[in-house]
Amino acid sequence: MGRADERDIDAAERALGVVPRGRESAREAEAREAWEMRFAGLAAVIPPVAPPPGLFGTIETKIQLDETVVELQAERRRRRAWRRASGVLGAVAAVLLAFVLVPGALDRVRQAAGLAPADDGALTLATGDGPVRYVALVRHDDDPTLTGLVVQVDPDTGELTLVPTRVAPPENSVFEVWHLPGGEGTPRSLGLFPEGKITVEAVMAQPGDTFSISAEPLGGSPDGYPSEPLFHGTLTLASF
Amino acid sequence: MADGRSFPDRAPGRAGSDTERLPRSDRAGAGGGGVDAAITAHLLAIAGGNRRSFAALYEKASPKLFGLILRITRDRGTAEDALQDTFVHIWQNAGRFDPARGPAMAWITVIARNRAVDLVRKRGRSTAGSEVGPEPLDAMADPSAAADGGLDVLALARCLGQLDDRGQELVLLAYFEGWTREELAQRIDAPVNSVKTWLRRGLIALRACLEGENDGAR
Repeated sequence: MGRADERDIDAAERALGVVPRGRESAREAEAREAWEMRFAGLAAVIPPVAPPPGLFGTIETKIQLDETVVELQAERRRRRAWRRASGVLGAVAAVLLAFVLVPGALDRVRQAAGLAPADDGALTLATGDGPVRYVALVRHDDDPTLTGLVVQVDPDTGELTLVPTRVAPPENSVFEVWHLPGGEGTPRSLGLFPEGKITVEAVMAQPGDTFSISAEPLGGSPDGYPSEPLFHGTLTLASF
Repeated sequence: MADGRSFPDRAPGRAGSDTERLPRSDRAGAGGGGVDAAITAHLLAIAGGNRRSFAALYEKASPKLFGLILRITRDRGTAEDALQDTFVHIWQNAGRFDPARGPAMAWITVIARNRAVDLVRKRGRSTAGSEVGPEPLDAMADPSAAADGGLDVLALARCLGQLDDRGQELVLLAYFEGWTREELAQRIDAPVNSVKTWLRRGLIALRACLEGENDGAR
C-alpha cells in the first residue's frame, strides 16, 4: 500500500474517531470528511425517535442568544474603545453600559429567553465562554435611567467591587450601601457610598441578592437599618 | 413549530428571504431521492438565513438524527443537548454544505454523530448496554433503508458484510459507541496494536469494496 493509501486509511480512522483528529491540513480534513460521509450510511439502520416537544423552541432561543451575544460583544468592544478614549468610568461600568445602551438587543434576548420585561435592568446571559461575573445596576426607583452604583462579584474569589457614579445625596444626608441576600430579610450595610471604585473582599453574594442605596443622616444609619432606600438593583449572572 | 416565535431571519450580510430555494437538479451528488432533494433544498435555503426551511428541516430530519444520537449517548438528557448543538451548528454552518460532495442527509448525519460522540466523551459514558448486536448489518440489507435520505446504504452494507467478523465488529463499535482505539482494545480484551491492525485491514478492505461498487455503478 502506497503512502497516499496509508494517509487515506489514517483519514478513515480519524473519521471514526478511533484516533484524535489533531491538526489536519486542508487535504487531510477533506479526506476525513469524505470518510465521514461514507460512514453516515450506517446511521440509516437506527430507527427514528421523536425528540421531545419543545426542543425546537429551545434551539431557536439558543441561536438567538448566540447571535445577540455576538452583537453585544461587538457593542462592548466599541464601548471599551470609547472608555479608553474618555476614561470616565471603570471597566465594569463600561461592560455594563454595553448592556444598558443596546435596548433592542436586550429586548430580543429577554423575549427569546421567555423573560418578563426588566424594570431594573436585570439581565441573565450565560451563553458566553468568557469569565462569569455577577453584576447589578443599582438604579433610582423613580428614574431607572439614573444608575447610582455598579456592583460586580467575582464568584471565584468572592470579591465584590462597587463602582459609584456621580449621584449626590439630598442635602444634609449621606448615601449608604446595603446588601440584602436573597432579596429579603435583614440588609447588611456595606458602608457609606464610596467616593471611587472600591473592592470589598469575601462577601458571599449570589444572583438574586439585591443592593440598595439609602439616604441617611450625616454619619450613616443610626440604627443599622436603611432609612430611606432610593436606589435598588438585583444581582444577576453575566457571562462574556 | 417556529410559528409565533420571534426567531429572526439571519442578520444583514447573510440575510435571506422566506422564499424557499429549489434544489438544483443538475448538481452532482444531490442524492436524487425525494427525501434528500428536500433536505438539500432546505440546507441551501438555511444558508441564506431562511428560518422556515430550518423549521422544516427539523421536522423532517430530527427523528432520524435523534435516534442515532440516542443510540450513541444512551442518555436522553445528553441526547437532547447533542441534538440542540447539531441544529445550532446546522444553522450556523449550512453555507458550508456542498451538494457536490455528498448527500445532504449524510452531511447532517455527520454533524449529529460527531456532536454525540463529543458530548459522550466529555460527560462520560452511560453504563447501559453497549453491545452492537448483529442487527445493524441485517437492517442495512433492507432495501427500504437505501431510499432513506439518499445515503448509499446498500453498498455500505454489502461491503461491511464482506469484512471478517473482527473488522466488522470494530468498525461498528467505533461508529456507534465512539470508542477510541485504546477503548476498543480494552472492550474486546485485545492488545492495542492488534486492534490497530485489524481495524486498518478492515478499512482497507472496505475502501476497496466501496470503490468496486462505485465502478460497477458507473
